[in-house]
Amino acid sequence: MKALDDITVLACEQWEAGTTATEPMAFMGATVIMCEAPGRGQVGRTARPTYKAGVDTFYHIYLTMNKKSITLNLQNPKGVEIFKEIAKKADIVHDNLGPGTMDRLGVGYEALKKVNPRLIVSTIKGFGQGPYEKYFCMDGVAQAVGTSYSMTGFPDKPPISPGVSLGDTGTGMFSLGAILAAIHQRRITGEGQFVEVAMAECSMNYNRANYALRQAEKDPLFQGPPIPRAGSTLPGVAPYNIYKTMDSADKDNYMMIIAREQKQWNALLQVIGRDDLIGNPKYRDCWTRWQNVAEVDKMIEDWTSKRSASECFNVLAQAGVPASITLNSTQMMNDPHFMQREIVLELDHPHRGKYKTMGCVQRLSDNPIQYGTGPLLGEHNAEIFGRYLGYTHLELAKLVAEGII
Amino acid sequence: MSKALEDIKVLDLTQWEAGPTCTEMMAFLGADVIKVEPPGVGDPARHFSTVPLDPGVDSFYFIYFNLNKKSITLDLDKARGVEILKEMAKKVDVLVENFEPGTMERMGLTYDVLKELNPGLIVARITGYGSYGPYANYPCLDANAQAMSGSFTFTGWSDKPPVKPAPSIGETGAGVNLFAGIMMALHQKDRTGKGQFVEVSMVDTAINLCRVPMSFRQSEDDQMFRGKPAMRTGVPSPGQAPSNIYPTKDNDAYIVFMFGTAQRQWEALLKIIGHPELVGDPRFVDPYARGKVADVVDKLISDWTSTKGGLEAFNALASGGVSTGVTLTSSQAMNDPHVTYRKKVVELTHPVRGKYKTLSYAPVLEKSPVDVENAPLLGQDNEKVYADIMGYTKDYLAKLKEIGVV
Repeated sequence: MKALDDITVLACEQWEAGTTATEPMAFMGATVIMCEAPGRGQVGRTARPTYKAGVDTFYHIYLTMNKKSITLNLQNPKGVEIFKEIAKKADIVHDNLGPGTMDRLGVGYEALKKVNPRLIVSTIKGFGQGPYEKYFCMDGVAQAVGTSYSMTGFPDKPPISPGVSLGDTGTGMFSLGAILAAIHQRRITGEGQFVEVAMAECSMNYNRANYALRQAEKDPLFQGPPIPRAGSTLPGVAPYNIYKTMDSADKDNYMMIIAREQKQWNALLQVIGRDDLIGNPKYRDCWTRWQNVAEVDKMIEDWTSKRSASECFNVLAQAGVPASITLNSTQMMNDPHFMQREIVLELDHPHRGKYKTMGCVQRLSDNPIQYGTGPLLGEHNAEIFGRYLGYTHLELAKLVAEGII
Repeated sequence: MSKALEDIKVLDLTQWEAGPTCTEMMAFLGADVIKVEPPGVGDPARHFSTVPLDPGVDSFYFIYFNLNKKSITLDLDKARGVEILKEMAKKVDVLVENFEPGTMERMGLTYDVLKELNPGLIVARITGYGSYGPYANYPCLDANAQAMSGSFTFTGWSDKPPVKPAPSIGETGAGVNLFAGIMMALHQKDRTGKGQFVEVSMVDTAINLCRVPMSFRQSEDDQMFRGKPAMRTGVPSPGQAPSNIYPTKDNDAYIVFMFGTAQRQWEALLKIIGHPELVGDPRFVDPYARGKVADVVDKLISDWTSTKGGLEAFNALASGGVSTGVTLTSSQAMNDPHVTYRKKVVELTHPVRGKYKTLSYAPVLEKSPVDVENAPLLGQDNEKVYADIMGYTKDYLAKLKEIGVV
């Protein structure tokens, strides 16, 4: 038994926000059926400059592990009819298509509710219902509007995109939890419902700590000057910064070191050989240290810059100081800790061969995960149409000939 | 049933940000979330800010992440406190914690012990690096988790050091992921009656949010990650155009485009910026072709954006069907008409701190409306919670208080 092995998800996904919401469900045993356009499939399959026909991008492969792929032409009335037949037997219909698309295709919430009142209909939109409702959105758009750009980078440079795809994957994470909460509610009420998540709002949510720590204390109604960019620091708290190591130039490895609590500061002083400063009132709390941040940063960097990043990391972290390395992607994807935890794992793809990817974040003690690679386009047509609708091979061949699947 | 989780009771031992994010989401959806805090001091986040706070005044950092919860005090460093907690654990559905590694074990509250007391209990934990592996016992805060995920190294400018992405993806992100993990376990429990142990790590969360830069910037050419790492370039989609930021008349307001391969969006953009004659121009057939003439593309666009205000350009482009963002500041976003209309930014009045704005639960569940309530003062619900769950009288509670247990 797996946590979600009684759940069927019918997904009209594209790109990333939609796919990241349903992938963890598939890891936990749900049958996640991606419904894709015959011939080309989801746009993410082909989104790279060197695309070769029929060879999926790793972008797509990473985000669709453990799922099923069927093809179905929703521009065709027969395709819509088939979609509704599967929706009758599904628990969740999920989409992140453009605003209004599901309704236009005839598979919006109102239509689906009629065929299956128990259905959770989940949608991811850029902005959701309201003044910006019809605006298109992708990751960078959500991150810009969600204030991540304006706070990331340096004060003397323009705003910059955070390297993480928070607007998309970050929204998928919110969507996942909300859908499962609706599944719990359904168990008691017997009714499905509509669940909507907006990318712009999810992006803002990841910035609540900034809003609280860096503006609300002095300006709780947000009427004054906004939060400025501050590099890798948290103004008001020291130490909180990146520090050079011997591996900075060639490996990009700096130390990210924080000591917000006094026990962490004292441990840090011990490690860097400045225990003479323990108890010194100039450094008695994180705010006082911020008043002397140049000195604080210098004494730390004097120590880190003479050492390798891994030495700094192990010595500081073992002493109880929140310190870590700005690992580069190659280091991260080969780090023994991450491999042991299977957050980095190796899989095999029928066209692309052996590759490394990243595993499920949720670890449930009764749900060990067997990872499968992302499906080829229409790979599960026979299985899914057979299992849910009883179609024979002959019927499937006819649907292929008619361009419906 | 008017809220999705109104039948769920949560014993919330969380502190700082990652854990409280998770339990706050449960509280928004109607769960009865009982935050258990050390007497006298409470969650250390109550006292943490970038400016010193008067004693007894809760930080907004605490307030934002503990809305809709109840607060009780209980000293888990005392044997009697642990005993009481074990009794309460028998009567709840979920227990959540994000203590430093080894804390629960030191208090004798391992999963095995808790499971014995209540086989239906879901025990959920957030750690920095996970509970096993070489770094399992290392301390970890948001920025540490982000550094280890690689995110710093592909954020920023190629001629500058790596820089931290501002959003707290490690901590808030882990909370969002743990919430989903608990919902998975809850569904299984709804079928089997049994609880289980659920864990999410902050570093795993940050790594998960790096899958796209990993795939776009490295794995297409180096799928085993043996070669040159993904690098920062200052733009979200290197090699594509438009993928830059474009200045407007407004200070620090830049326009951001992202529309992947949709050619109709590019054409809509050309019409809006007054260059309909360039529709169909072979230099601009797809994002990669445009990437080869990025200078030309960037100039065409910024010549237009720099004559407009930030929101003016955003509304003109977005309403014309172009996937566009404007780099809103915190002050703008917290007062934005769309977000305010959707009640995702709300105004509350705190008994000590007065009027303030904060964010509500991001998702909208049709049948589980969210009524945002203030974060509790320390121990404000002692009487009611201890009476309801443990049957303690006022007198008995006073005695526990005298000996410092609550």
